[in-house]
Amino acid sequence: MNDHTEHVNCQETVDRLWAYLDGELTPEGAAGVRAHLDACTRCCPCHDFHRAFLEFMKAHARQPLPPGLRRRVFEQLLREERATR
Amino acid sequence: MHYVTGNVTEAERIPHSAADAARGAALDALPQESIDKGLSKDGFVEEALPRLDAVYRFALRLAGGDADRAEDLVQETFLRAYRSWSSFTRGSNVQAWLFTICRNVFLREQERRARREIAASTLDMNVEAVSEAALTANEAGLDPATRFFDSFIDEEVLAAVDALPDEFRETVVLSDLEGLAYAEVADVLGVPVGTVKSRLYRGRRLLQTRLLDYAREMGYARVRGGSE
Repeated sequence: MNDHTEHVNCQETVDRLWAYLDGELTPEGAAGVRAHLDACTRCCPCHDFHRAFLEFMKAHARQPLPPGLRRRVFEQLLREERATR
Repeated sequence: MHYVTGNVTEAERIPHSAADAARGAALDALPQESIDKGLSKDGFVEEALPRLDAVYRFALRLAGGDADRAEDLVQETFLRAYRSWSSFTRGSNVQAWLFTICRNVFLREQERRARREIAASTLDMNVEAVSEAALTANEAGLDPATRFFDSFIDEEVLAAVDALPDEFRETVVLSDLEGLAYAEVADVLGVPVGTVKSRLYRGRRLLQTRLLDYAREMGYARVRGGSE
């Protein structure tokens, strides 16, 4: 922890947890949350659960493009191109 | 069933049959150079078309998992984007620009459909419940958290996302699935960053609680207490 680290308590940590995990805090704010998490056994499980949730969403809630859609989009744009020439 | 969007008529639309899907798959494999030749607008093929996958994912979640509707949204989005390509500021975030168009197309189309009404009182009650559930998840025997989430299959998660109220769903999808920053999500949705944060946090909590409830129902996890 350096001089620029904000000192935050449990409530402030929980309030800022999502922003911390999203990388939306200032460097000082992030350092404060990180320092609190390093020392607090109450807040760590919540942090771990939220982080696992976000990692899971990124990894699993995706679906591939249907076959042929890229071609259909392109052909539609070609029709548009010809119609406006 | 496809619906007609904008200037795309049913006569022009390419049927989405099994044969067409096979043909499309084959055409998808064509070299990029042969595809690029037909479009004249500078940079569109290089910058916009590679975002097709992300726009489709966004459209699919906007459409609540309806693949036909998502395809129509994507087609209309790229048609409008192509027409207005000259208004796009080169060097800015093309994905966010496409998401904005896609959402506008969706909202316009949505106005013609009956909107689901979410009773505010019910929603608030759910969000309050979620908060508690998320915070106590580990204490309730779900440790380690990663193992808990691994018990779900993708379709269950996507169904839970699709069941979110519209304003929460679009915010969660843009942030958590597509990785946009708060400011970028705010631009796409046309709302302040504070609104994005609020919707995102509440949407995530709602989603967590639904997953927790589902896990309990399916026997994935035994949760002491729970969200009631």
